[in-house]
Amino acid sequence: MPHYQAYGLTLLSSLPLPGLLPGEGAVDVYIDIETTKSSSSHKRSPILCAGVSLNRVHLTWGEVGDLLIEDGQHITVIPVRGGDEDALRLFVLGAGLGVLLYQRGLLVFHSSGVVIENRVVGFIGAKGWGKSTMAATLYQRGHALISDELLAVHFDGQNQPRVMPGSPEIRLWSDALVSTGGDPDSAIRVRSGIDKFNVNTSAVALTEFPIRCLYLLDAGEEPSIQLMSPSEAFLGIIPHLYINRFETSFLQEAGMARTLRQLSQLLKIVNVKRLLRRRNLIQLQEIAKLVEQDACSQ
Amino acid sequence: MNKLDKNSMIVASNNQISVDLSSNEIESAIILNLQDGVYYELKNVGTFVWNLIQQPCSIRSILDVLLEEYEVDLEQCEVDLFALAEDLAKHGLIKIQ
Repeated sequence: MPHYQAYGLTLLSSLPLPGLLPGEGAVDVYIDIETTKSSSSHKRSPILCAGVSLNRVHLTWGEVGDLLIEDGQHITVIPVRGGDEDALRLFVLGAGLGVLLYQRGLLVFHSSGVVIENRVVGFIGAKGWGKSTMAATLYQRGHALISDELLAVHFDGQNQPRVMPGSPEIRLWSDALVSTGGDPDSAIRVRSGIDKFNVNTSAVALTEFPIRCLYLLDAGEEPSIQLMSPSEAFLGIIPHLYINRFETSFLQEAGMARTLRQLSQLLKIVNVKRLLRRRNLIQLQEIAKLVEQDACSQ
Repeated sequence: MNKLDKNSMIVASNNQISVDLSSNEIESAIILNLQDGVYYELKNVGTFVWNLIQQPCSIRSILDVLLEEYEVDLEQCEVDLFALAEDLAKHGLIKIQ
């Protein structure tokens, strides 16, 4: 079975995960496909989350399958018979690893990040706000990608926040792919029937890095960057914590005290800024330059 | 809800989690009410009072500390403190004993 590496962990997976970098050494996380059972397909699109405790979480994605995520070490994958394997991979690499990293005590954001002069610049925002597009644009301008979709932060011995290197893939909608120099005809779709593509990056961060700044994506007429106060930043980031993407409140309750402590520690060290721009793809280079200048000035 | 007077003891409720986000420029705290998932923000003097009532305190003792710490007159301080305590109680963030 192939070994992979992601977020500082070595994964052994019976589900091929070609999006991840190959890994070696002692295994931290086991991903197994359970074929004796099969999940029954139901036409529910949002991912449902249930569980008896933080360390035993059950996720269901109607037409794709179920994941049982235990103790930050195990993901059991129960596919729907005849389901889409690419969607299953997305499920494991997104929600599955997001919950697993949370179980392991990391602070996980719905965010993308690149490394600018040895420190991470992260982009936070809801689906479709341009997190991946910003990361792809800065990647095109020569900055290494550290993660897309999940930005996982751990606190070192000195309580300093550090971002763990994730997957080397960026997922872009076709218009964003074209705007960042890609070609939808030769790119690989995230899964069939969806106009979103995997872009494999060659310049990726392989180790953890400290954080320089987090940008909360927002809409505005002219591109600009505004520093947020700690409480504004706190309330602005909360909805983009990865655990808040599930409808259920059980996960949030289980680890919320820890998460809020981590977030307040993060805000003592890291600036959070509002990145205002029009929600289109025209000003990308201009905005990227603005971010580079801003990031390097602190 | 018990009526508030100067002898009332108040303390932060168990149904919340709070974090202190005070910086050099501004004192602030965020409180999450675990019952309904609503977040509240306190600033400056509110944060100061919130830190005090992590242990049970009488309104009278809080007034004494505030008068010592801030330049305010007793009357205004009383009005503001009662308003804050009533607000916190209304949202289930403190217990009145």
